Amino acid sequence: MKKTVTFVVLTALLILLSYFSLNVGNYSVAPKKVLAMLGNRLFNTEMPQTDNYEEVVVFDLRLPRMLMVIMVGAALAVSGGVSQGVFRNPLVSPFVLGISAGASFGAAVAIVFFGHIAYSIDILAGLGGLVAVLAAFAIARRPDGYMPRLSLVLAGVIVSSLFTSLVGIIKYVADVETQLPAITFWMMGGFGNIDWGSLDYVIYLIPISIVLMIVFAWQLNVLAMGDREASFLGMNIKFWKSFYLFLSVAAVGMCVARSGVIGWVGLVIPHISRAVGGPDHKTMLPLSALLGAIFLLVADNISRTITTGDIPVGIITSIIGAPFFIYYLRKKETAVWN
Amino acid sequence: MELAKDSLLKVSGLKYRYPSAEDSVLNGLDCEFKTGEKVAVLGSNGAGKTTFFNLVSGLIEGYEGSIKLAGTEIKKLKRVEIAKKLALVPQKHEPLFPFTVRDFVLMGRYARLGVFGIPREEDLEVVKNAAKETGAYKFFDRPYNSLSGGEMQLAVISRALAQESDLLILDEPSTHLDFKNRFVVLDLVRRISEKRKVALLMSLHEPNDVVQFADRVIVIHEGKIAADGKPRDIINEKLLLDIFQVKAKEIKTDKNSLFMPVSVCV
Repeated sequence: MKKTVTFVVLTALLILLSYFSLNVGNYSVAPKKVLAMLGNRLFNTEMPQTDNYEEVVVFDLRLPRMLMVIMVGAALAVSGGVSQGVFRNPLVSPFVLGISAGASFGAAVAIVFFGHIAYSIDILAGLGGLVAVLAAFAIARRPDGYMPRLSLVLAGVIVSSLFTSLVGIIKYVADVETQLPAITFWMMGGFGNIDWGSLDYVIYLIPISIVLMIVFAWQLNVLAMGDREASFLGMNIKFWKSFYLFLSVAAVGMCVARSGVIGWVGLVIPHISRAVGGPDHKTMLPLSALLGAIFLLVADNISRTITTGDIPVGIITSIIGAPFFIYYLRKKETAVWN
Repeated sequence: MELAKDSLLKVSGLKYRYPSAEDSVLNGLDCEFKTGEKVAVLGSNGAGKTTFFNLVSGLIEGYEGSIKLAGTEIKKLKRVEIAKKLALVPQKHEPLFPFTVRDFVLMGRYARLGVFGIPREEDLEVVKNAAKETGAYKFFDRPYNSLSGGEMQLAVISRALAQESDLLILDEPSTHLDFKNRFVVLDLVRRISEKRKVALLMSLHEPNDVVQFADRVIVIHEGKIAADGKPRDIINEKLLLDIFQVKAKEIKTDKNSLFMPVSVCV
């Protein structure tokens, strides 16, 4: 009951925020007009008097951006929750594990060397993310199969920094006029360039991967008991680990390919969700999806209104996320250092 | 004469060497376990008790010889089939996320639930009964990482009971427990075995616990079975000296003999 209320309230909040996102920005459009235009598109009500710009701003700039932000927020948060369960480690996220850095390396390679091939950014970002997480895993795992919690975090740091340096090398060979700004933008993370074209197929694939991760959440509960216990409880751990790793890396890869590296969402949101709705992934993952979308939508609205320019949203998520995580780590009940 | 009982687990000529090690841990083990037996496994640290348990529950492969679970070679069984026949209580469970004891015990139903893990009425009933039987029902809705060592062991045993298997393997069930909880847990598994006709296979460190709680003991020494039989026939001063290099004094009680260690011979 309490859970249902939480979900209803958060969904309502997300809808309100989405509407709000269509209203804010440098170009002012009267809220009444936005509502009337939405009514026209959705329910075929009377179209208000608008100039051309107003329609373009709302439907071709703000709307696709808002949809992308929601998908990326949800995908990063759910992938974060998934990686914490799969690795049995509350300190990891796609960012910490190096998935984001690996994906941004893939994206950079694609921009510079394969710019002419369609979807090369998505494919290489996904591959880069996969290589990164497997590398972190291989570094942290001891021969006897045991994987200390901090080792995995450190392995992620190593892999991230390696891939970031590789991106640095690529920047040197990149074309200063066109490719370099594109890569730099990627590294910081932002939604400034999103239009309907950027949503092409990810508008289907990101939601599908999120839904798949959520519907099999029970498997994650058992997987979080550890490999050995999950095995003797009857699980085929190879299959389910690969299933979750593949989906989370694919989701993160698509996000990175479209909006660059955005940190903190995947680390902070799962912790909040667990605090609100308990550790059962059947609740925790959908809650993460909602909270992740809300969090990133707020951050993105801040990023495009706080100055006249468009600050990369990754900066805002760090500014909000870092202090929160410090607070979380210092709290006694949730001490996770040992 | 005893009635013929079903063979749950039959081990023959079992040899195992860890890939990284030079010598075999287990060097030709033969034994058979039947319905409802309470078997203790005794052996010094590093004798290979945990390896033995890992092998017979199919967690490690690459062994020589044969391990048959209910008549089928364990290599050929899927994890989900093994979990229905055999439940394992690990030496220590390290909790991470604060699942409630209820959710934790429900995970024992994994092999019997569908991929979405939606419990049926009967599953919830099994879970509740398992928790009532061990006493874990008293803290059923508490987060299980807030439990004491003894309570945690009851929760883990409840989870194993929820698997409804015929064979319960307990890896040093009393190691991390205090004097009271050691008795609580061993007495509990003995009663469970008698009530549910579940066979127990448990490694114990304390010979007196073996005498008190098991009706059969196998002694693993130098990779082989050094003795197999009724505890009171097998455990004696000579055996303790051979296996543990401990000189012990036998103290006769009404029913059994207990052993008090006196000195260590090196």
